[in-house]
Amino acid sequence: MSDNTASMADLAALRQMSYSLMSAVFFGDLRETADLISDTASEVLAVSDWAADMSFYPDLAEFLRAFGELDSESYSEVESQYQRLFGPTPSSASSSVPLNETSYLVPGAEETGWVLASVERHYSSAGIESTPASGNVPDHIAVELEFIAFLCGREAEAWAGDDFKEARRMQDRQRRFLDQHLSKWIPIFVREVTGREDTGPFELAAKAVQVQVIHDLDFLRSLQPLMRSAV
Amino acid sequence: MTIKAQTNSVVTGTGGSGQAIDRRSMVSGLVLVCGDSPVATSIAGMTVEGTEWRFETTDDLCRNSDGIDQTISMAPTNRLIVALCRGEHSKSEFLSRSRKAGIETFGTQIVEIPAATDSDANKAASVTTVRGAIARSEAFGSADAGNIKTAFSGAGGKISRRALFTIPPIEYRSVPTINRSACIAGSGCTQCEKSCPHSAIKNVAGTVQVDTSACKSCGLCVAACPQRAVEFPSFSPVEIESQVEAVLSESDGSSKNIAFACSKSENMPIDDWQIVPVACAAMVPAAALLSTVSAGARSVGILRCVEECSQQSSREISGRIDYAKNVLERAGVNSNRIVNLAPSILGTENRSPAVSEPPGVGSHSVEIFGRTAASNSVLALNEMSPNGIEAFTHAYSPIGVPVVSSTACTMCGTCSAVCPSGALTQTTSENVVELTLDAAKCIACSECVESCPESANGAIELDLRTDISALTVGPVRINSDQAIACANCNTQFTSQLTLNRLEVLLGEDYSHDLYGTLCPECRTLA
Repeated sequence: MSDNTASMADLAALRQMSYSLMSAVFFGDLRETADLISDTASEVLAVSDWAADMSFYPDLAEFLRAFGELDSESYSEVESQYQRLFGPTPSSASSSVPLNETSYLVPGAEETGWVLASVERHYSSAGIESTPASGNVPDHIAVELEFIAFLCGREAEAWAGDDFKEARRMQDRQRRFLDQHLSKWIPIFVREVTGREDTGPFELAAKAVQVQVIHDLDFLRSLQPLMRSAV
Repeated sequence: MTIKAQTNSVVTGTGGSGQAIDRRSMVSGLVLVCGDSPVATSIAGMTVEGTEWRFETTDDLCRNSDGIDQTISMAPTNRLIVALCRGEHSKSEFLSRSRKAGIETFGTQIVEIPAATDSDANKAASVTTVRGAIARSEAFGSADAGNIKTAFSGAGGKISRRALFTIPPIEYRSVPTINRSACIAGSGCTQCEKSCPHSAIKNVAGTVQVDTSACKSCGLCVAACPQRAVEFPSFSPVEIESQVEAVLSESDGSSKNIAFACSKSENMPIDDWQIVPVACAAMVPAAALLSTVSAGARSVGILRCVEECSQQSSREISGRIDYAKNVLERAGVNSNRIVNLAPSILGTENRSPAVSEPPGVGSHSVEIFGRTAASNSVLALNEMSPNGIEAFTHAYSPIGVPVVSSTACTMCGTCSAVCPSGALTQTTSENVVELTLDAAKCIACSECVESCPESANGAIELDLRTDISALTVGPVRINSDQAIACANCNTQFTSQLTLNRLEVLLGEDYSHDLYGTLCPECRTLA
């Protein structure tokens, strides 16, 4: 029997850090978030061995090492890679990989508005709004990952405050959002990224997102009956 | 704790098929042996050709897994085999520790070696056991995130809220994913969906979807898929077949007894048997039994778990064993070589049967899964048989012969369109439409009968017959008719029999100008 001695609060906090970092990487302003990535990466990699028993950990660690080891010089190269992969491209160049959910719907699909409305509903029901001023659309990968990070943070606080009901509520919110949104399009996004050349550390980041999303959805689904029936 | 290390490897780097070698060359394996076992020295002295494996012996390993992460990290390692004395260890503890040491989720195997005796036979058998595990490890590709399912140990009963503040003990189970390039769900195959006892698989508009939350990791879909398109790390066809082949290829002088054992039947002391773990005993097809005997096993058994095998699964397993015994009997081979190993009877009762036949002949090539596995294994046994296998029918036959009535069949082509194994094909050329059967490819799935619009009239029936002449004759025309060509584009789009049947069904509403002159596309344009 695996002896996981970590608390649910520890796991939720680890997942919060993980999603925050992934969000920062795909937000694109790498130089500004460099310190955050570097500091948090070492913090996550230093957690005790209970985390290494989680199936998502090897991919997370690989992604963190890749970004944690970057220095100011290599950031320029990574920023160029980001622009080549995800930035606006001249019409003659091959198209970039879209970073928002609605781009992965069938072209011209009527569901675009529905998806955006659904994403916004998830945000508002959790008491937050996406800010158009930031330049990011609500279905941008960085915004969706940051939202999950926010819910993980609330879950961690709930566990720390002995609030079982709130922790369960936050898990339910995460599960629904992962199920309805991130798990639906991230695998296609990852296929797009891995199909490109010169992906640098972004391929590792994309794979880490996919592994984390699939793990967490599965983990929360498996945990749900236990949480429901707990006495 | 003392550690004795030895690296035995011969790196060849070439030979074999390109893809297999590419994967093998990426393997850096470690075999960790409990030094308390009297066979530890023999295992540590093994050599492995073609890949990089090191062997380390650790005293008291069964009772103390502390420090295995250090041993693993002494050299790059991505596959781990832990050889432990029977019945003295916690499997999940070792799996957890290996994950913490960086071995991927399903990259670790635990094999059992004798704790007490040190006879030469036991030493040889233990080396063979490890050889089989190495072959299985090398055949293991990797698991995608979608193949990993979280399960909480002991989650059956009620748990307190307080207890849930700590993460419950986790186990990871393999769940299937579908290799889309090999899957033929688009042409109507529903074999995996039908085989799933938990309704976890659905063919949605030609795409197979797996509901991992409903999946119980039984692997029945793996056995059902004629295309080997179900990816199921830890229990994939190539892993299981590679292990059996390696065990049978080992020339250690011993007779080989292979037991396909449910992975839940942990720590079961069954002497004399080489254990091949399967996700569930019900995923073992009859071809596994026949192919393993024909490849040289002295005897083959299926070991179910104690609690979880449903009544339906037990009946299926018994049915397949009975079928395989029937084949052996007709081939003149002692049918006692196939054994239904009882989970409740441990120890001496489960010793391999006393059979006088020498091991089978052949290249030790084992084909257990896929559309031709059953027919090829029957044909191999037929080759070994002095008088050949007489034709017989059996309710659990994995092969069959679709029988078409030339008077009731309308040559509509539905049966060939849905046939997942390619046994039935319908072709049109030079104004003739032909329905052809290659019985060697038939997997007795009944899709043809179930889909036939004229089955109520007896247009097609499945004869669950094992018939060597049908298996060896090759493709045979079983019905034919005049093809009707489109008056506009000249495409041959239907048969005269279909039009005749349509006329009967529609009566006065039938119009030859409408249905019998233009193909559906041109009809729409017109």
